[in-house]
Amino acid sequence: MQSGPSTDSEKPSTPRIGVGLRSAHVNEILATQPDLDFFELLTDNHLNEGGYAKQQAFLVRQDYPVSLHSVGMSLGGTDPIDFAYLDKIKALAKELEPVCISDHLCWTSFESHHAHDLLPLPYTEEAVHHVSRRIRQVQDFLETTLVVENVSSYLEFACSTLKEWEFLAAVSIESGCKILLDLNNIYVSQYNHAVDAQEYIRNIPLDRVAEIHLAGFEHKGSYLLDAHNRRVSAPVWELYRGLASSSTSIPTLIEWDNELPPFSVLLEEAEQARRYQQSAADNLN
Amino acid sequence: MHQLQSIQRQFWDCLRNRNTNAECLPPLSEGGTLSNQERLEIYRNTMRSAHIRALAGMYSCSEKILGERYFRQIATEYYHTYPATSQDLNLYGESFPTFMLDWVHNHPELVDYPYLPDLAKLELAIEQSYRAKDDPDFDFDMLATLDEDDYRNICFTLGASLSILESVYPVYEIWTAHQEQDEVEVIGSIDKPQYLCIARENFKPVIHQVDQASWWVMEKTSSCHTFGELESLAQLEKMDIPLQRIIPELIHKRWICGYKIIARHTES
Repeated sequence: MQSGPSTDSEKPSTPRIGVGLRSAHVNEILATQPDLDFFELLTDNHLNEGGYAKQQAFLVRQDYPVSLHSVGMSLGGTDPIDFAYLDKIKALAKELEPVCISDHLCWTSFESHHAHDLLPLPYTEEAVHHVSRRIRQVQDFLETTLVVENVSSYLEFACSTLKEWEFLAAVSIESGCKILLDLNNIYVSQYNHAVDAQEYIRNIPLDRVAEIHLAGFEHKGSYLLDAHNRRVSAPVWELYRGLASSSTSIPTLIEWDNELPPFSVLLEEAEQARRYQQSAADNLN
Repeated sequence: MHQLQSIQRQFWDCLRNRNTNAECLPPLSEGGTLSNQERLEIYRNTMRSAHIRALAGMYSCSEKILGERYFRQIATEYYHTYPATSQDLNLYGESFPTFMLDWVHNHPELVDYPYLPDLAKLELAIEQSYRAKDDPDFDFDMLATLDEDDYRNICFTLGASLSILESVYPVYEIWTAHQEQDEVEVIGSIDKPQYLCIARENFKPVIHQVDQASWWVMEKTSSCHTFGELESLAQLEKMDIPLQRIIPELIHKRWICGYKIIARHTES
């Protein structure tokens, strides 16, 4: 297994544009072999020892690189690390040889009960050290560099002493993990917490960013919900266009989890991302 | 870690306890248009919705019969009673059939729906079958090496994707009737128990109606009774169980996928 996606200069064949693999689309993918560079699997759905979901993953893996994206590591949690869960991920990774393994900068369980939601952390030095220590333990166990994603949030703790981007960068540096930069989540935070998305992105060390996520949010009137149920919004595409002009080599993934559309819609979104990447590359040349 | 743990405990208790309000939250940053209560409700709603969606996915036939609104009411109570214990949300809802048994018993409006707990058992079995591990091929060569004593001490192993279900209600017909259409059909009662076996074929769970004798063998086998014990139990319970026919059939259908030798004897 690779230690996270490599940069362009290290490995020219690194996958560039991918979409999240959903069961309803697998037959079409296998039949049509779409022009995509990789698929992202929701790890937690593929940890069974057998069955259709696992079979689908292996069939897709025969034709495409895959990445493994989980929600259950609870990297910011205070429960003991669940090594039985990690063991299943490690076994799956051994079989699928993913281009990277990722999870989120949040906590998802407490006293062995699971939220199935991405719960926010306070941005403190204590939390930086705590999360970094756990990420290092996970990386040691999985024998790979983890890629860790910023989450959307709907509240901030008063005890926070760092900006979210400072927290994300500090964790990446202290733990050695790479960053999965979700631009939709940044935009959602911009709306919900009056964060400056441009300032956020400017302050992220791009050399540590291994992947970008793009998704759609739902406007709930007084706030934005990270719903993953529609196309990427225009302002998020703008953020992406700006980021792509700085770094054209970062693998980018289209996420869509709820109210799943026909696969052709995901392909259109992926093509849009590819056009922005290509345009930025052309400008640099 | 001390402050982090304290914040997480406070936040978690606040998320899970619906009788509390935002005052139970750790101190939050000021600013924005949302109140703290609204912020808390966003998380509560997202968490609850994810769990209810998972239950509705697993128990889709029950949801059709009960209606979305009433099912949501039951699922909400289940969510508050049973927190998820696995990272895999597809596994959430294992205790729902038992929960439904209590619910039906305690809610007079469901007096005409006594079959709902059994229907929930069937839906759970289908989901578990879908996700079960793949079974090995039956090892006939090894079986051929066993002597007569070994045969009596064989405990056959049922496939991991296989479940059996006995019901006095026509749950198979009820389930089938709700697969292709939205309208609820009235299903008549039957006067004898229904014996079902749910097993995976080509990755797809299939429900089979089986005869009582085959069901009996699978039920006893799942409790790890040996071949010799099956013979003795059949005599004891005065059951006509043609083991010589049923066991090869179950192996042929791949419902029995292996065996182990148990070091005990059934003769009294």
